[in-house]
Amino acid sequence: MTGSLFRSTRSPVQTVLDVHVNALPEGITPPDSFYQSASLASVVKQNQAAHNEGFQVTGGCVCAPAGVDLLAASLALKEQCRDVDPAYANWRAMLRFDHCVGPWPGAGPVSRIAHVRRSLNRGLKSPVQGTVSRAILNDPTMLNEFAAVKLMPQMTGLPDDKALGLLGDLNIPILVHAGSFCPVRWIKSHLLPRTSSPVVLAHLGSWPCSADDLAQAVELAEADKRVFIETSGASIGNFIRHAATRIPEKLMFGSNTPMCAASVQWQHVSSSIQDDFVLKRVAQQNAHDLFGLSTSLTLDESTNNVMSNATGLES
Amino acid sequence: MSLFDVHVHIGSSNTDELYYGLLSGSEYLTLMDAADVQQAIAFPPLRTDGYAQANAELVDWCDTTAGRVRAFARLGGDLLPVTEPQLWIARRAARAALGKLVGQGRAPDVELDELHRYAGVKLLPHLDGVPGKAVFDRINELELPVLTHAGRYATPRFIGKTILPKLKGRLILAHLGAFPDREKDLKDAVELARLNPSVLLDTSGIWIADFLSYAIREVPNQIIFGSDCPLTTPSAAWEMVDSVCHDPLLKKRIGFELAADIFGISS
Repeated sequence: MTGSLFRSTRSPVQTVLDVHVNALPEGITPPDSFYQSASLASVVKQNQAAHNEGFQVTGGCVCAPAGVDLLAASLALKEQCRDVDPAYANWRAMLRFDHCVGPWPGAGPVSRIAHVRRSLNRGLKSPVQGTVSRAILNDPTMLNEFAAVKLMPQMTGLPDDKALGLLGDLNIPILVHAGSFCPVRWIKSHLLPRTSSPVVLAHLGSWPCSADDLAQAVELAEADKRVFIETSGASIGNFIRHAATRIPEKLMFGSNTPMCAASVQWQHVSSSIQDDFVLKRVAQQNAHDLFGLSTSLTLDESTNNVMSNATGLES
Repeated sequence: MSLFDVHVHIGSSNTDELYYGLLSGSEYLTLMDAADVQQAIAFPPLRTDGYAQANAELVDWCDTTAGRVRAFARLGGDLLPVTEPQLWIARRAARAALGKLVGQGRAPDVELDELHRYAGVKLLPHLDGVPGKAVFDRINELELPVLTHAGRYATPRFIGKTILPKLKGRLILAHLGAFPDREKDLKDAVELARLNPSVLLDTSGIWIADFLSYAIREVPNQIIFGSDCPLTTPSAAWEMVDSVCHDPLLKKRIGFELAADIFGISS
């Protein structure tokens, strides 16, 4: 116990893996939204520029933002991450699901009424699988090289048992929005029993700042070896501290870029975790262990390029 | 760049909530140095037993900082508005009203003849209540600025109808009026600021870049820097502003000059 809340010494970490980035691949038009979109190229470029400031995101997991054709955008992101440009060497795409036919967050009658309303909106037809679910069930090899899938159950519902079973068979991690509109207890009772995949609760499980959800998320991660947590959207030092103290081996850095710049989110995280060893785990090691991202990147300062000396990104 | 942080909680909360770490004055001074914060406004964190002691202790400590940190008095009242249709808010409001009725109203958080020691007033209407007329009269007489929590449970619309008409001076809506992430409240707060030049929006607790971009674009001259420390550090809070605002002159205004102007400090 140091007696102070925040780190008073310089962070020992200069390079970070960011497991929650939203970005568009080349060639996809940004959606019309209050929330800005960023291209993967601009995210990578920005991170390279940040190198001079002593902090750099050297890779991570990226998914398409809402409001675009998620199958096309996810596949294009995967393709872009294969780029020969070494700047992309440590980035991997996440496959983001569009509408699904599995359960939606909500309890009892509320959920049922919402389900009926959705069916009415679709012209009284039975819910139809989204294009992403259909695509992976038709051709499971499509999942190759995706680092994970991303679910927003409050917007799309959960994939059906077949699709979730397939993800489990291939041991593909699931990053899931957690907190408001998709509480941890719902994830525990509806998602976890349907999959054997690792599950990463986004936003410390507590979007936007629910202490109860945070407590449940941390307890769940302690109790279930498949459950992990990432830091995006978490700006409250005590929340980050609580998770880092209880589950240091299961906490990963995520920023939700472009909603929050990685450098800002890293300040929230690095100032709140005083233990250097834990901070390094959160910055890199835990993401490496789960997603197979390389931690061993070096910077060629003459070209400002990120050079990977990793033996390979597939795991 | 020198900063002026108008939103800091120093001292202990008795709520046992995870939100508030115990930030000591000395730790905040260290964080000020690290972020080049030259001046700050501090008030106690949320307490359920009133603020008489916490206010007094804080203003005494601020006196030892040679004006570097100034205290806002946290004030409540017996009127707890039902700001949103929530049962727990209605229950608290009824309990407060009943308490006053049976002569067990809220004890003063600051005696009115002591209010001059403070640089302003902090309100949290849905939990602490809204002060009575005599308190607002004194606030106006002393020309004190008022900073209020704004967003969930204390919406900009409610503030515009209930708090703003009682004030002659500046009113600062914390969290851009949008705590924790409410787009509608953000737009209402920006509209309130647009219609009322005395209304300012502080940047504390904002972690969605798009919210800050919108507010800065719409009412650039009414944005003021606050960190909400100890929820985060002033460095991290400023990094957010810095990541969004690229006009050096505007950054200077948000980060220091507007607050310096309000509190009569040369920049």
